[in-house]
Amino acid sequence: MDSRYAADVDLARRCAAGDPLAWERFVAEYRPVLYRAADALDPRGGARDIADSLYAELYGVKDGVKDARSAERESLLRYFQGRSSLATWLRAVLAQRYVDRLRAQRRLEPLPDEEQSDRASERSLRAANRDEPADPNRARYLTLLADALSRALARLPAVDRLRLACYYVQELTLAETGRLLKEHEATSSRHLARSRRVIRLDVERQLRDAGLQDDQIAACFASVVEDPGPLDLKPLLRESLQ
Amino acid sequence: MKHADNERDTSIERMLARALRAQTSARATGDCLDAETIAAWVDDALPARERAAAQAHVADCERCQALVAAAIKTMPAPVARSPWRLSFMGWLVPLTVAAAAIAIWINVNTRRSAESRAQATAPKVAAASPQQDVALPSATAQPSISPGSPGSPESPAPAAPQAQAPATARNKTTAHDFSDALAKREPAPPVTTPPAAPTESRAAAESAPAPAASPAPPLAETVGVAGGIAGGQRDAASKPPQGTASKAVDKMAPRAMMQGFASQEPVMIVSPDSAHRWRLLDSRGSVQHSSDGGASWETQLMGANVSAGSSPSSSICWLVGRGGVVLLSTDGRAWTRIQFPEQIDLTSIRATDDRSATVTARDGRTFSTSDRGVSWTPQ
Repeated sequence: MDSRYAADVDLARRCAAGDPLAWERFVAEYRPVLYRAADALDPRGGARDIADSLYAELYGVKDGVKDARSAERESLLRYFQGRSSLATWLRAVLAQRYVDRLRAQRRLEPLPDEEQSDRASERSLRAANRDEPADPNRARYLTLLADALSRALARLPAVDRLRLACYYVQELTLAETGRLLKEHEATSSRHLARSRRVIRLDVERQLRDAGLQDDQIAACFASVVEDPGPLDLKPLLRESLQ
Repeated sequence: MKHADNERDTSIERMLARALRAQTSARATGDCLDAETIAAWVDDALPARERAAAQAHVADCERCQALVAAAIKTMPAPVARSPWRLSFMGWLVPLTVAAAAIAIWINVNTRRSAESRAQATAPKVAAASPQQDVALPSATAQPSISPGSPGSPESPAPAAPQAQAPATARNKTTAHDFSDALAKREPAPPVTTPPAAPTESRAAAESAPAPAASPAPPLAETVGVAGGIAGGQRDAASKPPQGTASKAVDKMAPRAMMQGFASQEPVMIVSPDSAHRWRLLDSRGSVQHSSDGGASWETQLMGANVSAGSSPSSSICWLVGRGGVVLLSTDGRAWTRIQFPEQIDLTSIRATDDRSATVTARDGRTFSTSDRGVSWTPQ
């Protein structure tokens, strides 16, 4: 336990033990924290039900128990060990449940944006084929580029990959990325730029090693820029196989 | 080349999201982080080794990436810097710029108006008519003020103990630290302007009337108040007497306050024989005399409440100040109070001898006397 959070641990333990005064204080101080966090996760209110559910668990109401007062309570707060502040722990638990629910939903149905991106890629490919003769090497270039990029990413230090993922995949802001990695947002920005440069140089070197000339390497990169939709190799690969 | 690099960086950027997703799906290994660990990470409470391990895992785990990203998004915005610091630093630069601009404007404006009024007022002084005498109270009762005395009756400020020091003390005026500092740098050679009216201070040089506007009998140079004796009504009313008490400053506009702050130099009154000179030091109104061109100074008066003076000869000096204070010394040591008909602040004086002088009041009016203050004639 971090001694900074001793008071939080004490409150959590008293709440878990059923101290009504402690619970009153918890409600006054931490209920707003919980609901503000839910609104931050989904400004449309989609995480409010998770917050409600979590709130009930923090009180100790078990699922299926109708009379909460008569039932034996088992508060979630007993798992709080004081490695962080109670507020941050609550946010983390809420975030965990929110993410898990999203992932469960994704497993059941394809994400609409992925469908749209597939269609967009196919549309752009059809349009390109209709307007001008397709570059017969384009599919090969894109494959080479994607492989080289994958290897370049794998060679990056974990913290650089994490920074890139936070920014490009999780779409955190520079400030949020910096807060996670305990660095200033300007530092995050600098590191991102450096990582992109390192990746580009690595990719160029790999393409050169694969026997591509400078103009072909330029064509590789240009093929990505020309594509108006999100990059998706599947249609191109399908086409190249035919 | 640079353009090509940028294009390639753009290409890399466009591919990164998908490539990173593919990476995280393929490489995720080990146990995912629990909420306790994520919270400790966010609160910067994880030990370094544990944090490095957590980063390594999250870099390759899509779920944990989403989890830490969600946790970070729920965190309130970090506390901004201290509001005091923000407000102070935020306003410091514009305030400094504004203050500098105002100071420059005042400086330029002061010079212009002083020059224009010097030309406008000087002829009036020359054309003063004795028929315009006003009924003045008798000035026969003129208290004499000896060197080192506490000052005039209308200057109730008590003399500092140091003022009782012997008049012969060199560089021991000690009325203020300020005067000490001035005494130390005083030995600089005197700067003289026209031969008939040597001046010392920059303010005097800037405010001296144009030669064409000088009256026929050469008046002793008036040194001191910005705008000088030739100052017009508006200027005389708005400008603080330099080197006078802070009491005088408190009634003035901010502009005048700024002038006061900007001009900490003593008012210097230089006789035609430049070896004899007087200087008026700041708010306590101490008057010091030098008979060796400023190499050494002796305090003659304290709390005299004077702000300007004129010395037509080496032994004669007139001083004027607040509340109609007019002082005269005819031997260069003892001072006599000259009656003045109004309790108005006098900002400058020009004297031709021990009987004739012209003073300018703060409201811009000028008064002349040719009988050592027995009667004053408004101009």
